[in-house]
Amino acid sequence: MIRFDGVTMEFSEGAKALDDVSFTIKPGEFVFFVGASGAGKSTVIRLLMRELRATGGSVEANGYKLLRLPHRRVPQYRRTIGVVFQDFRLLPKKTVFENVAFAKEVVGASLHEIKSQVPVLCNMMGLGDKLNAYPHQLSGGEQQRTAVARALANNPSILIADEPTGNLDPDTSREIMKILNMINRRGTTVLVATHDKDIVNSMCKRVIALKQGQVIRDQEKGGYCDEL
Amino acid sequence: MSFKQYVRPFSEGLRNVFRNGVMSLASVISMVCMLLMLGMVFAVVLNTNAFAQRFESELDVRAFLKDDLSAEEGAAFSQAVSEWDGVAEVTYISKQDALHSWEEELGDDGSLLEGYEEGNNPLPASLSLRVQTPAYVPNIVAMLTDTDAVDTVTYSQDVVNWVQRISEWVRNGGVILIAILLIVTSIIISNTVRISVYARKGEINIMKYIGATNSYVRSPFVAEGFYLGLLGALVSYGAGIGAYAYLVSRFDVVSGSARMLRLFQLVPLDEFAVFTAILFPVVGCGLGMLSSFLSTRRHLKV
Repeated sequence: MIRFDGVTMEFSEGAKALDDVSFTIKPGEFVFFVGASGAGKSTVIRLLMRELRATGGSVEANGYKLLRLPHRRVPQYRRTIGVVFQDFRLLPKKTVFENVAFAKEVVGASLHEIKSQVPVLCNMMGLGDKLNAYPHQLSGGEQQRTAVARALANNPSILIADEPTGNLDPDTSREIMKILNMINRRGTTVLVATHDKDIVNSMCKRVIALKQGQVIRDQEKGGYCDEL
Repeated sequence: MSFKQYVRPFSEGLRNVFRNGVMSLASVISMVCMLLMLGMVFAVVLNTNAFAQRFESELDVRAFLKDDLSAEEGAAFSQAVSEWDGVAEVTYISKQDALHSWEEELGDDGSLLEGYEEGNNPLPASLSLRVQTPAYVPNIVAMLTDTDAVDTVTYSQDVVNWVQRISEWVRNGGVILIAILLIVTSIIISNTVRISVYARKGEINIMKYIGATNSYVRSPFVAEGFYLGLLGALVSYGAGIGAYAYLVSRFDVVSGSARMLRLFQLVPLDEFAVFTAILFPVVGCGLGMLSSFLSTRRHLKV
């Protein structure tokens, strides 16, 4: 469960990145955040990752009240969410296996767990034959699938994807969205921030549209409208 | 937590040390300079203290009696002085005793004094006073000088004061110098570790997003500081002990001879070695870890 209640985010210069934003996302939903650059999509994501703290309202996710969450408990919260970025952010000197295993190592998983679970996860992402490849040997789609595998490594209940198809061609983009859809069907809440019109229109999922820091539309089975 | 989790900070820290070769070297060199300086100041303080202590334990007032005083008069005077305030013990040293003890001190060269005997003994009789505390010395000296029986009075208080003043100067100057070196060293180590942090910024960022705790992210860098400190401590320990051993051997040449020169003997090597074996690693590793900890604190916020 994710709940934004009257959330305002003001940066020091006085510019409001978010202005009284409210919405609720139930467990297992698939939601697109759409809007032009600077509309506030990234701010929503950064608030959810607890990279930023809202200046007003309340943000709640997975039972954590993020405005009041003390620094030392942030890692605990972050282990319940998975994040995928536009630029993949893989470690260039680690193989596919090591990149995914890394996420489990960080939270203290045993070697046995890593050896048994990481290949299964990679197989699921269609990377079964690329376990020993380095990121520079992979296509964009494969790199992003590795990043998704890493985000899922610790079984998060929410998967957040910030422009996951931003660096990919249309075919690969569709392939990634298929994977995200599959993950969603297995019960994970999936949030995707994007301005990829085709993808939003083809998937027919809930759409929350932002413009100048405000929610201008929140629609079940919506599309990407030209008002943005 | 698996075994690997405990080993990780140490193995990654070690890798960082080698990855920033030049900066690590600079850190270790400055650490060595700092610790050697610390060791030097420490050696000087240790030795001046030991010297002052040795001197103080020998703190005696010597009153040379006038030559026309008879042995009986001398003994009676000695008895009187022993009852003064602050006098712990008085020994009467007759002219004959003085001659004997000089002979003994000269050892093999004692034959030089042959021919001197009771009749022509040039040495005066004297009283050797042990004083309860140094504070009594000025008063007792004044009283002795005032009596008719005494010719001259000598005492080591001046020298003790002088030694103590020098030792204090050395200590204070050393503390200031060490403080400066401590700051310089910690800045250099901080920078070395900061370069490590920058080199692995992407990795750290991802770790934070995945939910790594601060201590998980920080521990390899603190371990890196620990290694730099330990390396510095080992090198300075070797160099410091070597230098001190050399000094001790140089000063030992004179220690066989007269009592006065024995006062200047250095504190033995093993005493210095034990102290620095604790001091160097504690200061080196402590400083290394602390400066890493502080330099990562600012850079790890995501």
